[in-house]
Amino acid sequence: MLKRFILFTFLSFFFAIPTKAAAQVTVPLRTVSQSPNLQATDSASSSAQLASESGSLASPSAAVEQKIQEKKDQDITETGGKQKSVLAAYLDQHPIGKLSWNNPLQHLIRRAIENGLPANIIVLMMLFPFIASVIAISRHIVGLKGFGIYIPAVLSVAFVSTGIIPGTVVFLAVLLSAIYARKVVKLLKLPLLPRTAMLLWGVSLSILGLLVLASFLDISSIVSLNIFPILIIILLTENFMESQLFKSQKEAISIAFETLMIAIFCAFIISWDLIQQFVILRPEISLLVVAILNLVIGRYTGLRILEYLRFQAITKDEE
Amino acid sequence: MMNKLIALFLKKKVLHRFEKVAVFNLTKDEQTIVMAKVDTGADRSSLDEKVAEKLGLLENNNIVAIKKYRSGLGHQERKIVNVTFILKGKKITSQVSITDRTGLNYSMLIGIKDIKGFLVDPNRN
Amino acid sequence: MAKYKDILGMNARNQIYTKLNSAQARSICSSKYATKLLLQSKNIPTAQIYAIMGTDEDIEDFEWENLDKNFVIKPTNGHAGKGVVAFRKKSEDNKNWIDITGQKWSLDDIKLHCLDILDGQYSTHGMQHNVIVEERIPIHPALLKYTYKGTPDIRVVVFNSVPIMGWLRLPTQESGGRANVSQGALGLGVDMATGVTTHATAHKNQLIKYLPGTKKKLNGIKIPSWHKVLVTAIEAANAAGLVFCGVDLFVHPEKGPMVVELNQSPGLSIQVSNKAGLRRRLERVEELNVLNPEHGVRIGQALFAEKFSDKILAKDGITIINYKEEILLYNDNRQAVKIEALINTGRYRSAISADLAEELGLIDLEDLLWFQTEEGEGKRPVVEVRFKLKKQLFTTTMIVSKKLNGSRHKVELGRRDLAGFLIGDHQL
Repeated sequence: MLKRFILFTFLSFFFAIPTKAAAQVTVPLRTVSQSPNLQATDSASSSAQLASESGSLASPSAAVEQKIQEKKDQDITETGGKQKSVLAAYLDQHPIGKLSWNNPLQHLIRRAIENGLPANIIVLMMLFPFIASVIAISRHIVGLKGFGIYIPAVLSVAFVSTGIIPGTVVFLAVLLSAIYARKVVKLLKLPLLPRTAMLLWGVSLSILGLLVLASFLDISSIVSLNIFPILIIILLTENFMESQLFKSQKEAISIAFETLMIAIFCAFIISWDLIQQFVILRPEISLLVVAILNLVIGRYTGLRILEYLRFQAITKDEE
Repeated sequence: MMNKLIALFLKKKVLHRFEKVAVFNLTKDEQTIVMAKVDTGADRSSLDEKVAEKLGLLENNNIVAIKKYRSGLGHQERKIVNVTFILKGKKITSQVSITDRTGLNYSMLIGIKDIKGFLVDPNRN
Repeated sequence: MAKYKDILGMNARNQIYTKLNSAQARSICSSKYATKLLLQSKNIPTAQIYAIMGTDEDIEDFEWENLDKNFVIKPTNGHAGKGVVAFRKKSEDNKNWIDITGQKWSLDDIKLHCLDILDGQYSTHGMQHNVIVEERIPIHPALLKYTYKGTPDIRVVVFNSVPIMGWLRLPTQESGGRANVSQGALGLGVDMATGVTTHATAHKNQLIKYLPGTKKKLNGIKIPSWHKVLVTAIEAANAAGLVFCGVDLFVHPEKGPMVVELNQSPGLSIQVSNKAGLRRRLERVEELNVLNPEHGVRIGQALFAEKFSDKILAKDGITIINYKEEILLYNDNRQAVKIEALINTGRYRSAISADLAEELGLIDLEDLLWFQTEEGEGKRPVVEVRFKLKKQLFTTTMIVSKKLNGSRHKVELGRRDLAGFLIGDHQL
């Protein structure tokens, strides 16, 4: 009871501030990638590492490069993009008072930004515990399973970088290729580690195929994907494989989908301007709220929402 | 087979644990519906004081007797009044004790005296 | 029907009940090997171990040829039956083994499987991946026609030395002969008092009535040696020091109930198959002082018996009794005493006057089941009583009431014991 009261007081008091601030924000923070119209059709491989034996493998056209740069600008995880300056500009619009007991972090952050630390990275680090708490809620209050906490959390950051739709496409591609690869590799009768390596072999090959296909079909949103998000999504295959061992295939797939939903939901949260602004403007409160939230979740011993559904059959009156 | 016939025949006359009862007021031109509990551990039926008052049943000339009871809380007095009510289609006039049933779920208790001709199925609500 | 607040959810189970188990108890039951050693040391029946293998050399060195045709290979840290293979015969040329689903395994296949176990493929937790090879318990004839190739097992949830809820798990084709519901086995709820199955579920949550693909009813199956099953379960839980756990047992056709494993965090689907919530039962039993496993079984059976009133009505018809009836009460020497009892539908549980109970010798410490708060009296003992009414014998529990010492009727029968009766004056 007391915990709820404290939580409510803090939330109501401090949410009042950013709503006032939101009215002043004029710069929109774009987060979902648009599907562009390409003019040229050259290969979009971004690296100059490919040896150019013939002239057709030379650097991509200017239009494609422009699209890639646009994508980078939208990607909050990219330090080469425009997001960091947007956030820095936002901070400039909201000066803070002198250093006192309730704003040490705020001062620290602003000084760091002045020193050159990108603002978007700071925001992401601050938001990470927040989404971890959202995932904790999704398990303890809602009852979703998902693959633990790290995978959905990291996956959601990956989705923010890739854009939610391209990210989901890669996720589904990985899932499908993992299911089929497993069936094939099972026939080889290898011990555990070589078997897993072969699975990753199959999945990586499929993703490469997807990327190549995208380059031919001019789907720049997939072509311009950063390598780390792709890696993250691929690496969750190992978890998926493990869970297939323990549960039926159907259950393993449903857990994978629950993970996807949680990751998408968290990706939306991270992308939401209000949240980003609040967190960078009031870091102390944000951290405090997260801590209190987890304490409250940890104490909850009631039924989870999905459990209400699960046990419906036995609570209905038969007579 | 015989039991099945009895069961069919009995369907009309079987009381469940809780029954809806229509209680008449003093002048018998109005009724109030109350929920009653059938209790074979009670000799006499009892009715909640507030309901009785609203129906005008606590008038002096309606009081039949004042009984002294010994309960776990010591000596108590209870009014016994005339009440007419309808239980599962049967009209019954009886002497009912008035008690304070505030806080209890059922405003009326029906005792053995008033269920002649009925059968009770205690495991059906 | 259960209410939502009667149901045990994961939050409550993990944060309240499994926390009551000591770390030592938990580590014992996480290893099948440690569990077996413990059970054997306390003479609790369990399957015989043929070998434990911890390294690749162990697998190579083991004399597979001398192995009996009936054995089971298990990972010590497995979960939900994964990695478990049961064999029941050898092939005609005596060089290969046939598992219970009919698949043929060569010696190399078996060794590869053991190596996989050692690699940690089937372990959910811990670093100790070992292989156990143990005796296979054959299927009990009473359950043979309901199961698909594998041995059905019985899970009893034990809390505070009282059996709380029981579950029969039947292997199916989908589960590959394994008795794990997460792999497709059927779950059947069991009445604590009679050991007879009540409701059945498939895939954890779907209620079904018949064995899939057949017309065999899944309720009314009687579990053999039920009383011994319950006692053994409590003994095993106590031996491991577990306050809250699920004990899995097989019933050997000759040797009787044998413990397979202990689970310190039993699954929650057992509630669906029993159509009852665990939480309410756990709270009921929390404060009780249980003297020994037999006492625990008596309490569990008294508290958690299913209400079969509808079934009784259907079978024997209806008997009409009066507001006061003569009954025969049995004292501790099994002699009958005639008493006129009051039929009191205002009571749920029957009551007996303290003086009478004492006279009949019904209030020994061993007969005392628990204490219950009675209106106007405070905490009163509840004891087991046997009586005969209208030629029917009843074993029930009654509150020992001091108040009744001063009443005309020293025994009052409550609704709980009046199933199948209609009360009224015989004025048809």
